[in-house]
Amino acid sequence: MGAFKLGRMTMRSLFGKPACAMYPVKTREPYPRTKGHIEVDIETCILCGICEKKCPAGAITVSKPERTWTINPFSCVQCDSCWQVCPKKCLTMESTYTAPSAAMSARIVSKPEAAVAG
Amino acid sequence: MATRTIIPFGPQHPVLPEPVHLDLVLEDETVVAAIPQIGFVHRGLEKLVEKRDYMQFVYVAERICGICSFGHSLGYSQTVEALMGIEVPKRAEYLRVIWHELSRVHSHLLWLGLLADAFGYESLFMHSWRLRERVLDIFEETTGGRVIFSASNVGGVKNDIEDSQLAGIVAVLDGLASEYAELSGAFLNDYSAASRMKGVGVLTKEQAHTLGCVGPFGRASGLGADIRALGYGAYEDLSSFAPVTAAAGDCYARCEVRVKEVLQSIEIIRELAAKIPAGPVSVPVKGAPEAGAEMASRLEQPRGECFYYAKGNGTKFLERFRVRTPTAINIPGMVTALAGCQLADVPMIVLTIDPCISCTER
Amino acid sequence: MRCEKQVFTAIELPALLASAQAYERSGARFVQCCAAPGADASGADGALELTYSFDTGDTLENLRITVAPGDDVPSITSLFPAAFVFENEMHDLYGISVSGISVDFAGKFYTVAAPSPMTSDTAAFEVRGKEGSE
Repeated sequence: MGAFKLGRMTMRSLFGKPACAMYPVKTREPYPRTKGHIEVDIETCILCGICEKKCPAGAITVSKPERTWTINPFSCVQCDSCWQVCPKKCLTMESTYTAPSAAMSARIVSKPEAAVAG
Repeated sequence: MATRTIIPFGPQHPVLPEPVHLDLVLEDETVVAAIPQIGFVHRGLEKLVEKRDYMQFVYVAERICGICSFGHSLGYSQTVEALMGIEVPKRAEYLRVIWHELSRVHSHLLWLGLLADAFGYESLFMHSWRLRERVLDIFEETTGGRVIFSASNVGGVKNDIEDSQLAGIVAVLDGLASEYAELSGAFLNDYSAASRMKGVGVLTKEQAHTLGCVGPFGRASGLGADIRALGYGAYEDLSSFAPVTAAAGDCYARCEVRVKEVLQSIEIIRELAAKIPAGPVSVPVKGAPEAGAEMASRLEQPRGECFYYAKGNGTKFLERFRVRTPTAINIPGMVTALAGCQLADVPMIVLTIDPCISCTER
Repeated sequence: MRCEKQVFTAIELPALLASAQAYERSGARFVQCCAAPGADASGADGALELTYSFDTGDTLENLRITVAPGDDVPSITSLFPAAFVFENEMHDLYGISVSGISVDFAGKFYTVAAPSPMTSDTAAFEVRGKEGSE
């Protein structure tokens, strides 16, 4: 049609599937590489603190005396630096996002006392 | 003698993606002069080089702006690599250019949507952004992030794209082509869109040259400068590259240049995806920039020529990192183009420089 | 990474206008001007380096001028009107006084909280951050 330039696109939108998903009823499957949030395997962690030094946003705090590994997921910028430098490969980048919350709080993970050294 | 009034435009305005303030001096409905004011999103990012070492600063650099994010991480990486004399593998250069051209496609589709919104054609705006979602899905699939994807760093790129994924990218872009043809037809051939854009906000070639306008804004006035023609990175391996220009210098010409640049970017991606060599995608980086070393480099961002300057001081913190974005040099051009236009055309003309004020102010 | 052809030429402050005029006559394009700390082993404390960049078509030519904080820099907006953005920025962020800018914001271009923030010590700034973030 001379005047109706978006004719085909409009017809497709009227009679086709909607382009948007009904979030939060339907959530989208994240891609395998999607950068969501960091998880730690505390059993393998040796509390060396390299991830804390490398984090550009200062989101990770490691305390060897208290045996805790803390991350503030709201400070994390999902840059992938921490898991790439971890010597024990105990950090992973999961593909689900951090849930929204009313307060920015840190997540503390405690390492239990081990029966054997290392 | 008509009375003069001064009307403030911005920093909050529905058409602006980022805050810029203009004091418009009006005589009845005609704009006589415009005085710009920026500084609403100045975050002092250039001072952060003192606090984040040169490997970490790439994450700051890519957060200078959301739309031009990958371009800044690429420009930063490129400059620091030249400063330290690091050679990145060929495959990394190809991947960087592919992501950068995809960035250009997504940025121009975003701009086309905003332009449609500026002259009131909301459904065209929604369709442009719907097509843009496919490009953002490509980013998420290949890098993990939709807008800020932390893909480039000093030494190369952080993850590879397998050849099957590259073929998938080309297939998505091919699928985009028919809908994009319909979209660009609506922008370029629709009667009401053309009457809003033709003859509005004219900047002649001489004016554009004196003011040093860059990017699609300058090329729409007939200037032929495009930094990609210099052949940095993987651009030197392209069989041919000619900047897209137009002669009229009005809003319609700027729209036309960007519409055609999307097609040009898709062609570049197709060509590079076919030619990409195998190999590693990054090299390990050791040491720090030497004291007194300095390097400047330029990049063609979606908005124009972006200038980066890095200076080392022997420590792992850079002495100075300077970004001069295309919008910074286009603002005087915008102010000149505004003189003599009608008040109702002001949002459209401001939008045609593709203002990225967060880049400009850092 | 192959970097483009660029030259850095050191000139004295009084020669700035004459050099800019030569570039304007030859049709070169003004790219940017910026300031950087003039930190080299023998440099005076507080000295700043200005870099004016021009694109001559095949080379990126940069003029390097060393100034002391009190020096007055002439504006090149009479030749390159687009320079006002950068000259105002140099003044606001580094405290360099530039005289004769065509559109002079007199320090109000970027309304910064402290004058000349780029040359001040970062520790002097009050950090207004949220609890729990670092």
